Amino acid sequence: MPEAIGLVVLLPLLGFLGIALFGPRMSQRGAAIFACAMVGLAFLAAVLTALTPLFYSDNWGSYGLYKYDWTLSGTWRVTFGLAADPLSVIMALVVTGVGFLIHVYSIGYMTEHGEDGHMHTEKDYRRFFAYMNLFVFAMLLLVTADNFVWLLVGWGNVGLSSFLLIGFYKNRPSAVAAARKAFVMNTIGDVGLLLGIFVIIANTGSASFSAALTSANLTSGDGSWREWAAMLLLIAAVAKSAQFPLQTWLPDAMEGPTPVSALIHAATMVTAGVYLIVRAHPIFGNSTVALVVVPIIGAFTAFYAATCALAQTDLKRVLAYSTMSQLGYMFMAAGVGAYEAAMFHLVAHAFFKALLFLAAGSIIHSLGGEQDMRNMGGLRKQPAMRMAWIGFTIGALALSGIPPFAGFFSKESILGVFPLFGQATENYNPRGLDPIFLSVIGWVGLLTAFMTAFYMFRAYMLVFEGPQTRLHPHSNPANMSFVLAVLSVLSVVGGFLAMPGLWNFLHDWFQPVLRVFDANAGERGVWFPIQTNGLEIVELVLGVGAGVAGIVIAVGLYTFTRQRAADALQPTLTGTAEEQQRAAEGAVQPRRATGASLLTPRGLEEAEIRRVIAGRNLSPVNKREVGLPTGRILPAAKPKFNPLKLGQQAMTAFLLYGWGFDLIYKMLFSWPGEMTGRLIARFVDQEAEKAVDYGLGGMAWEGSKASRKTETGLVRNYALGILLGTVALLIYVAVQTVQR
Amino acid sequence: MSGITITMVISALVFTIGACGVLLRRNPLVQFMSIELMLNAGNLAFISFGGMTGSAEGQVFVLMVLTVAAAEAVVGLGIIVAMFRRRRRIDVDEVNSMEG
Repeated sequence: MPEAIGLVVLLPLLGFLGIALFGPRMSQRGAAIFACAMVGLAFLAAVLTALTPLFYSDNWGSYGLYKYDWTLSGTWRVTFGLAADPLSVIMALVVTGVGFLIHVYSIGYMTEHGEDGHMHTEKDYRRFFAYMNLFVFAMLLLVTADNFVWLLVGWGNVGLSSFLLIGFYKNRPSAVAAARKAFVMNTIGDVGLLLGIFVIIANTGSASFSAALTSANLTSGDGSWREWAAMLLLIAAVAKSAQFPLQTWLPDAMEGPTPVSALIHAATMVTAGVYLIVRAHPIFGNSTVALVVVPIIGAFTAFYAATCALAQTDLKRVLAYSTMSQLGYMFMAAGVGAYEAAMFHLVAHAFFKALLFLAAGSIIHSLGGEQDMRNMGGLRKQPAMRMAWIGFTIGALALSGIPPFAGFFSKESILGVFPLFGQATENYNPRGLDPIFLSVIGWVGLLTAFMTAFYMFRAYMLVFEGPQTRLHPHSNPANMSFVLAVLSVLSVVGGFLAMPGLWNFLHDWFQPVLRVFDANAGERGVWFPIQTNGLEIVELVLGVGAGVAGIVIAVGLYTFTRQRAADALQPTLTGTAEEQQRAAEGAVQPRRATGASLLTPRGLEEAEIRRVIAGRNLSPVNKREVGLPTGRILPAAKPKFNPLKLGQQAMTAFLLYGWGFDLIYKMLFSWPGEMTGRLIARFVDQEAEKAVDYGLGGMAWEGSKASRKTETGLVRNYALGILLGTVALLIYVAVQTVQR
Repeated sequence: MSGITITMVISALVFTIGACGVLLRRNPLVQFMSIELMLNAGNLAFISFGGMTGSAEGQVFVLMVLTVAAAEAVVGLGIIVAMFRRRRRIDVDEVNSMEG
């Protein structure tokens, strides 16, 4: 039933409103179960919607359900409407399905190990679930809206709920700073989306997908509006999906609770950019600039993020960069017109990246908030960590593209789009792009696949193998393990949706909605059904080979060499475990490293924010924690000058900072503004203040001193004034009368 | 010289006398009397204009002015009494606490 899509959107909203309005009357558990139930029911409704083609196939792909006129302006109107078509339904299934699992997981995750040995719910437990439901609602609105304006409403709301959830630990300055950073970056994208919608409406006269993206509209004019619209929508997609050049917010967003990272910053919200490109594919596919720029952005981000992930020491940051990298793959595919492959990877990635994040979350939770991989180790042998180990291993194998896990199928279907040796004919290339260009992108993708496997198994080796950690993991609630099990299964079977060239359920599924439009063919352009690439044996073998090579090298490096000890000497981005523990408890800890420890809480926060924005959150490794010499140079043992080692350290720091983009942006955008402000404050403001003080103020002072003399307080003087005034008035009237 | 001219000249004269009295005398009681003079000069003008045009409106206005003058005299005399009680002298030039 396509109508069930209304229920899909409504139920999470009900959950949010219910907890927001009646939260204090619910118990902590009650609110959590209520939130889970709402998302779970929404998932059932989404399944009901997805069954539509079985019953009445002619009604499939219907737009404008639950129609009403939202804004009327003369003859122009924005109509609210929901779309039940394959694209929105598959997104709704992912959002509600993975969302439901993560909600269930959060019931266990958002607890703390109390003094008495029992688990206690965290403070603000209900607030967390209210925000989560708000996010799910906003995301569903985004993917089911049948027009650009309501897509923007959902788009803005996911940004808001992402902001609220990143800054969920509101007493932690770094979390607040990260939330602010994410919001600012996303706002740049929102502006792009808004302007893009303006361009679309100005040139097509409608905001609805079905009415705006018709062949008549798409071929109107000289086609330059398509370029503008594509570029502006691309800004939005890039900001939301953390692609270059607006990528810096995603690693910092890991300050939020881990289920939030899994739901928002891995599985759903960050894929909204890919969804937007696929949704607006008639615009992107017919823009000559976008056809080149989008794959380049995707390939560069995939490569960039993979290199950054190589050096991270924080488990969640590895996964964050990995997410960015995989989104780059989706952009690559969507950019050249392989929308099915992009959507396939989106779905598969949602499964295994959520699995990886949740497995990482159970490790972090059971270690009491420890996130530094170097303080972990040997967790495979801990019985409490059995499920996390299985989940993480499956997720890592899937991400590395090892058959038969989900990532293998989806990544191969993307790599199959890019012929590595420039062969063009039998490959999928509907846009007729240069085969050399495609092969360059393909080689970057292949290199990224190798690095992906390497950093995932570097993380695996650091966390699960090697010497036992001194931290004592406590066991996690059963619902967390249950969710990990479900997602593990999904990460295995999810890939069997499609194997290009052999079977392809997704192709049949997307057939009604993903019809490619070619504006240059014929008079009015031609719609033709989307093609699918065949089985590319060469790319398949190379892709799996890259994954296997990465795994073998990582395992070898961390088993037989002293790489583990070398990693321990590396500087770190996050604070020590103790600090994180205190932060998790909500205490504002004085950070001596910032030199702002004596400031007021307000000043401390500002200093922290400046530090995070500058990317200067490098704090030296705590000597007691690691038990090895730190990076601090001791006077007794002055190290010899070793260019190789120095270069290696510089490279590590470079990658750890994410190529220093934070610093570049600070120099480019923040610093000029700050300096202008300082200069104005010093020279203009103070002088102007003086001028106002002694100029205007003096004038008023002297003026009042003079005019005060007229106020004598004597009645007769006032009477004289009245008389003279009256006489003057009379004279005036008399003169007027005479003149007339 | 017609009747209207005579009454107007008298009215102007009485008004001027009243105005000078208000401005020059320092005793509030005398000032009040002068104000009454001015009001009555106005009344005279009203009546004579009314008589000239043959309408009753001039007389109506005079009645109004008389009422207002009575009310004003009540307030004014109240102020003068209060002033006298406080200072034992009544000189308007000594009441200058509103001086700026």
